[in-house]
Amino acid sequence: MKRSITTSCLLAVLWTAACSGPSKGTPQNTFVGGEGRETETEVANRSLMKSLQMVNVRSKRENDRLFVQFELENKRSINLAFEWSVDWFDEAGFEIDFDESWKPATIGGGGQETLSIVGPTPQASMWKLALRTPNTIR
Amino acid sequence: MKLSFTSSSLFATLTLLAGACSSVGYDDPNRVETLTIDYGSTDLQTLAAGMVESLIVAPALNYLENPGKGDDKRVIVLMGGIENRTSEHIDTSAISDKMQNQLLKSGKFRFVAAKAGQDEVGDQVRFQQGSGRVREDMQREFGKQIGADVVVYGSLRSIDKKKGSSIESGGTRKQDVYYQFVLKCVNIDTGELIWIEEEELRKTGTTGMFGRT
Repeated sequence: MKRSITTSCLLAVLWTAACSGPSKGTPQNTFVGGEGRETETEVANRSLMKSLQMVNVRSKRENDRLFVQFELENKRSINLAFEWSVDWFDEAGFEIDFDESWKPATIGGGGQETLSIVGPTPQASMWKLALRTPNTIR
Repeated sequence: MKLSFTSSSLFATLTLLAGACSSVGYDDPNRVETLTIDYGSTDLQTLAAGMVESLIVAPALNYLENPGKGDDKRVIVLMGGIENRTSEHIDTSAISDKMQNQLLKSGKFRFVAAKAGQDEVGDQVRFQQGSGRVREDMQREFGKQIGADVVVYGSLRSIDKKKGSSIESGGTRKQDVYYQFVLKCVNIDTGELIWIEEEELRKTGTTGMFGRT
């Protein structure tokens, strides 16, 4: 009887796992910056934050567009796969409707990758970079 | 023996159950997708985004003079074709549509309609002038459309390599696909190539004895 209950429980758990869809709301670390303001960091994934850090953020305005460049550093000794996405906002904080797709990336162990982003419109003055561990549809 | 039989039954039952369950749901179109190694939505988004950013920052495409343009000197673009030279069936017009959408939103360029749009315009002008159904003072005419300064066109190529399963590979199969997307911008006046960009993507996949890993 006891064995039958255990088996049923095991079955239920495994079936749920097998049938469940992709995980939603993957925790992400966000970095918010803009013209004349310090970069603010919000950490929701501490483990990723330890492994992947944003350094040396710089920006300039040229031809009426905001150019932002920074380095992402992999603090681990092995390859690190992650996804990144950028949202842009105008001065009043309204989001600018543009490319919101997540992009896959990998940085080798101890490596560094320079990322350049450009404000899609002249009004874009604030940016939000989101980093998360892969949340791939597979 | 009895335990082994129970385990086998359990495994068989689980396999059947896993195969039996199915679901349909809506998901975020911006999520990274790696269902198969073939060209997919993430590749489209990545290739288009890279090109759009490069076009937005290109100094050579800030303004072009043309006496008929008036005060708005922004470059007028005709989005040409993107040739599919890969071994896959890829609707490359989806890439140009996505780029055009984002470039229009960026406000940097003006666009003229490509062939399909021009055909629609032609049909409509002929209808307005010839059907007798449209008020005379509201009829549009030929000869008033603006002309493009530049044509943007390109090609998508791929190199596809596969390595079959062997004892050496432990029964796994490997596949590597490299995409090269080249886009060019030509000045219609002079035929001069004034901008070119290349975007590259590499995808690798491994299929184990029991399926893709």
